[in-house]
Amino acid sequence: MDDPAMTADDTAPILELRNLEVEFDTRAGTVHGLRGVSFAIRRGETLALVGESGSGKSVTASAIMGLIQLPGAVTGGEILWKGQSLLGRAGERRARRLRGREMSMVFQDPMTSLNPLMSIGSHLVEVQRRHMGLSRRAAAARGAELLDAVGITEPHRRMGQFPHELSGGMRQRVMIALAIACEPELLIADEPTTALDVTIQAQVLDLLSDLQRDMGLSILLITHDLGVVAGLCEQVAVMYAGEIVETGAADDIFDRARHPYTQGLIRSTPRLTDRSERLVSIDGAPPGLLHPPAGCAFEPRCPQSSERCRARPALAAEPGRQGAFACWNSTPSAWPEAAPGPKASFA
Amino acid sequence: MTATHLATIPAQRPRPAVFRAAGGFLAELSKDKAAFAGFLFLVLVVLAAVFAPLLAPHDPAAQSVLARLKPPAWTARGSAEHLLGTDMLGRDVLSRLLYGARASLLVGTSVVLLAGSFGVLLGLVSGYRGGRTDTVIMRVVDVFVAFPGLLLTLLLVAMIGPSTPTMIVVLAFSNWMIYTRLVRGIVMSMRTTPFIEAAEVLGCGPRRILQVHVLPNLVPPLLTLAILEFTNILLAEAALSFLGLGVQPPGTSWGLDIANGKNYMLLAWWPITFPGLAIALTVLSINLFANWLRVTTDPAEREKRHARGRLRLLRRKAAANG
Amino acid sequence: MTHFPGPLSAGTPASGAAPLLSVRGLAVDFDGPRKKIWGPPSKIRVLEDISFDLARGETLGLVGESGSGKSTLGRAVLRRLPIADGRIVFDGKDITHLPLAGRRALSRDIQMVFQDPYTSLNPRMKVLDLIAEPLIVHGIVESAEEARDRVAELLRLVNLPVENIDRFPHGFSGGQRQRIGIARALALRPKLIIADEPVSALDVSVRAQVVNLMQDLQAELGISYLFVAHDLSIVRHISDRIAILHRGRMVEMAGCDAIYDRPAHPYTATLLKAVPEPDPRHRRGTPTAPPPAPRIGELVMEGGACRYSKGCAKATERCRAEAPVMSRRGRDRWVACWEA
Repeated sequence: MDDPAMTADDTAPILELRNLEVEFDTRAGTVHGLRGVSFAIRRGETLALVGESGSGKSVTASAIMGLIQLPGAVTGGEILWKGQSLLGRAGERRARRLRGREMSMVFQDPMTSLNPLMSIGSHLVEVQRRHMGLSRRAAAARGAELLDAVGITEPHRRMGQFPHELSGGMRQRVMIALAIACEPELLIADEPTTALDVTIQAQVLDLLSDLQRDMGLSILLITHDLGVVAGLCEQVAVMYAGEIVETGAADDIFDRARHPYTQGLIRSTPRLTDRSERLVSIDGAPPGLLHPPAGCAFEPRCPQSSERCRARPALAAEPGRQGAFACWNSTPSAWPEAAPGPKASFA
Repeated sequence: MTATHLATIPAQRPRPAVFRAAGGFLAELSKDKAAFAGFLFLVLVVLAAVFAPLLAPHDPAAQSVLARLKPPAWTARGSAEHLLGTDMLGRDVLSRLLYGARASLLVGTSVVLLAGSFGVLLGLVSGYRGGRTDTVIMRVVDVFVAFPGLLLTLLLVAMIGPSTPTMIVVLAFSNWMIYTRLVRGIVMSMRTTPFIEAAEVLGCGPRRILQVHVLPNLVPPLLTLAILEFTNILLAEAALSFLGLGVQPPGTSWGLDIANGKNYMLLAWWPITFPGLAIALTVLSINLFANWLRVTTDPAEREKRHARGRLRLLRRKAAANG
Repeated sequence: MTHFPGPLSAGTPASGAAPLLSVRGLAVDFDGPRKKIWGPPSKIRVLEDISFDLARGETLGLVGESGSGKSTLGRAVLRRLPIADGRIVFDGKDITHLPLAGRRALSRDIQMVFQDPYTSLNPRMKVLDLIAEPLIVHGIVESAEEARDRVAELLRLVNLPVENIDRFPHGFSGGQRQRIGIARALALRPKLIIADEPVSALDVSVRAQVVNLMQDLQAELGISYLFVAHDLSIVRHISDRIAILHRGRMVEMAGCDAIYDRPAHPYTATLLKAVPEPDPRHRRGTPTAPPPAPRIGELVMEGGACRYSKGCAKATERCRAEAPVMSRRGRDRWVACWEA
């Protein structure tokens, strides 16, 4: 990816978002869920979309999949799949054809996305018959192969089982098998391991990593946990209050994050090697998106805000480095080293 | 400093909350034309029932052989004295209609209140206690549901003897189970919700849990159910009165009037049409209103309705501009 | 059958003093399917032979994956579940068998913070009513003004602006809601708080706020914590000692640094390896050997074998024949493993 001699064909993005805006019409007013989100994913690339709940990361995934429902609507910008728009009447038709075939999605809770009355095998057969036109027999044979590929033991016996008979990790593997059944080019994984135990989480992340390598799959991983990102993704985009505040290669982000919010996120992610008594945290809460701030959305929580932050900073590239960030006064380390002092005593 | 701080906390209210709530309710209701029409009609029925003695031009029971089967005022042989005509005993149809609303509303309201409170109470106990208590209560409910409702009602009325109070008790007796089932289901699913467990851990007893934590969450579904049940009772009252087992003459009821008018149906359409229309329109209005209420008390549905309205507005604007 | 003889004070900071909570050989059964239609339900043992001590002002981290019984253990100590075997002594009193009234009185001394701050607060109650509820049901406050003052005091204690007192919970973020939950638990001034995964439903960036707050409160009020967690990533910062649970049994209990630096039980090592590190070089590039994790649902529940033996790389014949019991290794470490 860093090789400048790559051909244009390889570096052309398969998915590109340009200044995407999503609004939710509520009785209290218009909630600005996405406020101009732009990024691109190239073939075989893994991009992590990182942010707190309410930052708009899941809304972004829904928008790409065309799953935004009332009261929400895409109100601006573009979603391009290999250069063709997925918005508007013709775009939505195109998106429907693509969904489940060229791009597919894995959700946080596998139980709610599997039909409890259908066996694992029926799920697999149905999706292949619909999208690939396979015969029932061929689809069943390939279904067993898929289960084997995602590390499920005794695939033939599992085909006859129902979702409730499987453990959470097993169900998530089935979801992944379903998602890759039609050999998609892009897999969107929305918090795929949040509901799982840590040991199972590690296995699922390894599985995604293997699939990405073996199938040349592009993955858009949506998560709030930077620890999950580090093991899987090459590219990272950090979201805050409905916009992207920093993008870059994972190594750069973890070593030399430029946005104070990214730096705060990294500092607050616990490490096993850290034996200090106190954890560091970003105090305060993200702004509401009913009336989004005119200036930098992170300004109220930022340790080094200034007058300039009253104006909204644009995502700007830094010379000599891949990636971009949206901050007026970026420094290598915005946060003070010392832990917060003792709290005022309780009278 | 603390004291001044706390003193400023109480929220200032410019208008009593009741009026504000009523204003908001009407403003939102007026956006749904059908529900608003239904609501207006219901208000009209209630007013008619309450003020029947003032509104009715005649005594509803006063018979007059000379004025038998007079047609409505706007027909050729009609007179302004009897706006909706008279029945076969010369009684004024309009007056009977107005007084009939009283019987319908009285029976409907009392049955819903009686059956509702009994059913809700059993449902709360059944859902919260669970185990053996639940099993026993639900088997009783099953037995009651399995027994044909109308047959039970007819049997009881025949045994006790027909009268309005009897009808109320008997209808309540055969209509409480639906509340128990609804409430029990909701309470059972709520029992495992974390905020109920949290309240228990804090030391709340069953009584407080049910009163403070469970009951308020039951209000929206119960309100909708009670209103829909009201229409059932309305129809049941009409049916019983039609069969002669409900309201007894000289009392009036819409169902009774239909029963009386049915023998003269080919001769005179008005004694049977107007009470029939009254029943049909009331039931329709209640359904329209209840449907609106159901959506309004569900926050997610309410947001969707709001967004749909906005979307329509935007489209219309776009069409007008383009 | 208890395997912890004598007082278990070793490793607790206040060794010598009587522990606040002392659990010996605790077992809890859940109802399983009925064998006969009208017969009694069968019993599934979800916790077996659990023993530990908790000193005043100490934090014990209880770590385990789903199905380990960690939340069940917390609820057993709260006496919300029937005890099948063993003994629980709290503050010098045996609370293993308590009538209903006794259990309600116990709620003044033992409180709980819940996992999900979104569903554990009644959405129809204001902050004032939520936090005042324990004070009202235990008859601690007499008037509305007194309740308001106490709630304002509690809000300050958990670093929430007092202006929020008349708001409903839906306007708050997850971290703020969890602080409301903590204020409710603190209202009765309990001696022990059972924190059931209090931060796992929160974003990583706000977990620290809540954990730091809990530490401050412990320093100020001298509360003991049973801190339940599903992984080892954050418990280190708050715990004095950590106990690892696996499928209803305790497999290791030791001081914090001992667990992280020298895990003795193979399962502890697996849990440590599974925690994702926020460092790209930590995992990527190196071949990710799958940890020898048990596949849940594939482990046997045989009483005779070590429950971890099927997924364990070190398992021997003895592990498959005989279940290990907790035995003492070193000054403050207990391990249930033949091979450790």
